Amino acid sequence: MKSTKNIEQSIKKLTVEPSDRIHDRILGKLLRTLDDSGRQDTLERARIWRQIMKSRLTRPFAAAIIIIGVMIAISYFGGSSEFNQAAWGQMLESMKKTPWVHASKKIEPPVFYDAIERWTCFDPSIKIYRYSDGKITYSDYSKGEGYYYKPEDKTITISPITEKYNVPGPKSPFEIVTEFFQMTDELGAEIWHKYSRVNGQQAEIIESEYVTSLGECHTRMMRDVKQNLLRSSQTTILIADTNEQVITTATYDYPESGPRDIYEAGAPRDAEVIDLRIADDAQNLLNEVQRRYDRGYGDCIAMVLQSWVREDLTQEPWNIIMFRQSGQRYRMDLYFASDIKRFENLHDQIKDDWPDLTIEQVKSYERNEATERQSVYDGTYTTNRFRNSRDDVTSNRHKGMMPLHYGDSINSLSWFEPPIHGSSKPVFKVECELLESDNEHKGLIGLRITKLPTALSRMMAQSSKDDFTRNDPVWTNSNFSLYWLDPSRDYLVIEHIEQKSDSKTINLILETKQTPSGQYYPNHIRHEFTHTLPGGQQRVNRIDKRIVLDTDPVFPEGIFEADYIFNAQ
Amino acid sequence: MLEDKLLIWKFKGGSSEALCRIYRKYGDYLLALAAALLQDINTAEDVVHDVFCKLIESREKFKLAGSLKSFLATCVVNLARDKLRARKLHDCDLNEAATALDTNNPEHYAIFGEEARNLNDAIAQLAYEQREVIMLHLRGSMKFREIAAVQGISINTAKSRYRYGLQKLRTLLSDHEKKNEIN
Repeated sequence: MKSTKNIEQSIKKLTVEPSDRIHDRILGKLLRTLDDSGRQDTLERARIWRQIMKSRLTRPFAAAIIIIGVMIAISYFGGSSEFNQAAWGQMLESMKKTPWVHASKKIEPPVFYDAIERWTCFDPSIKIYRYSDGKITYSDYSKGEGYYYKPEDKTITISPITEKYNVPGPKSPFEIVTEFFQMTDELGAEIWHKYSRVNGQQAEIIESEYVTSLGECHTRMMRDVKQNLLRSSQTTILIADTNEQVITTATYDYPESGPRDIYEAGAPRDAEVIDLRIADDAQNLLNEVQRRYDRGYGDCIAMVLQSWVREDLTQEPWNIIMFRQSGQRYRMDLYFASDIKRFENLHDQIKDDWPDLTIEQVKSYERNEATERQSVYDGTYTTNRFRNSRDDVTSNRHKGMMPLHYGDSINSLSWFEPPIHGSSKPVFKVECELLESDNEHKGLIGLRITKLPTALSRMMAQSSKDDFTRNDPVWTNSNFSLYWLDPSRDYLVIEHIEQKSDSKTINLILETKQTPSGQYYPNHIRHEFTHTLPGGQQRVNRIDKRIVLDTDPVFPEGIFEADYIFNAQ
Repeated sequence: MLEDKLLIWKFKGGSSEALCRIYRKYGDYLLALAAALLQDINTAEDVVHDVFCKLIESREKFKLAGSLKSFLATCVVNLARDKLRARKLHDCDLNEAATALDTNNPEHYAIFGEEARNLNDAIAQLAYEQREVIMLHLRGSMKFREIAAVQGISINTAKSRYRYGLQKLRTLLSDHEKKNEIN
């Protein structure tokens, strides 16, 4: 009889013996797919490049981007223009082969800082900045850790970081090309070149002129012909409003290795370390929650019927959320369902079947005019719309995926987004603590998250221009959230209590259901919000939420576009 | 790890050479994993092809956070599940879906080595979740923590599935040996 170890060994050695033809077949198809996708990219770039060469610049963009962007753009279109495009293209290739690019930038007159050093390596998850006032940030996004050295108090703060919601931008000199091409879709720049000798070395100089909303810009780059590497760049902006001139000068060198940690980037070894990372056990639970939150329920439609609960516990329709997800794309449409005269609403259609409406019913009632809010992420941009009156809608558009409000997505009703910072400079201090289950929460895991204000959060509040933000106690007071999660039901947050200085919120999942694949989701939630009125009187608002989930949805074409019109005639 | 990061970096730039190197490095392993999960080499071939196609489609946005091998293995597992589900079977029927496949067909025999056939047949009789854990741990070199994340279960459940799966394999192989001795 085989021992368990033998079986393990046999399985490890277990191989399929496919003919080479299988691998050749797969690889052949893959290479054709890659080739096809590459051809489309090239055509797209060529189209954009033609536009660049024709038109003047019409929108603002960062000078630094055009510096590298122009350089990279050239590398894609060798041979057809007056200057040596092929050589610049090869220069980019040379730069790519160097493990690190070290850039030193000077700004005159200083804007925030008068000098910044930046290291970029082929691994875009590492970003290092050293500022002229001595501050250093070292962000390692692959590890989810950020280090921030502050020379004033000689401290290094280590905190958990994420770039999930960082607006996607160029991550390194080598990834700027896509960004550049997207931006220059509407832009153009005049470019010319010359050969020269700089410090006895042969150099090629490329110059470009363009206009942004800031004013006229001139960029000059210098390529070391012998080494075939970019050595310097300079951008001059003549600010139209003030007639002030700002000059940004950058020099580049290419070291074999870069700083491996914040100390090698210049922070003193004897700096005091403030570790804001979360203890392993709590961090594991947060990772579990984050993973589930990110994965959600896959492609789905989640309908949330929200009712006001009166004091006599009767309910009246308030609003309906239709949340749709397909891959990374999502859309959330929040409809008025109460009988209000100021806005278009769905009250007449839904009142008889409330709260037992089906998704199909609501889909047939949906119309853009009855929405209170909408958020659509089309894979590149997030568009938000807010209705101020029947005819007045405010909208904004952001690059990248913006987080939805609590309750707008099924994911946020089931779990929560752990409070992790987006940069190495933490705005809040976050403490996490696991709690033992008590009699009221048998079988559940408790997690207490406390957010404490910092000097930075207070400063942000003080510097805010609007009164609401300046006086919002969230920036200056500590507050905590208490989560009770059920590990036997996909870690759903069965109870969530949020305590702030002037209010308390309780969310309680009263009933759960399972998807056909067995995943749990909340089917019935009670939300209770207690706050203190100006006269000192306590007020309680209750909302009842019924959730219907479809994990096998069919989406009409274009529904994840911001301009999609429901039930268009 | 560093080599994989460099390969991915080049692949994102559209390098076909990098794609070939990634495929040659992990193709065999992924095909074996898919075949073991699906017990069907044709579907396994489709799965591996689809995994790489998705990688090509999303290469510009692709970010490698951990090991490439684990990432590809996870993709194979997810797609293998989808393939089984596509046969209009619910989660609980996945076991039947795989074992229902004809493990005695000639193609199956040609693909799997003679010695491995008995082991493969025994693996095919395991509950799908157990099979997945065993294959990911032993063939995919994935840690239980990673497997738990893929399956959406706790680490202890992953370990239990592994332990019970191995016990069952042991029993099945032992029964088979006894049958052979009698014959």
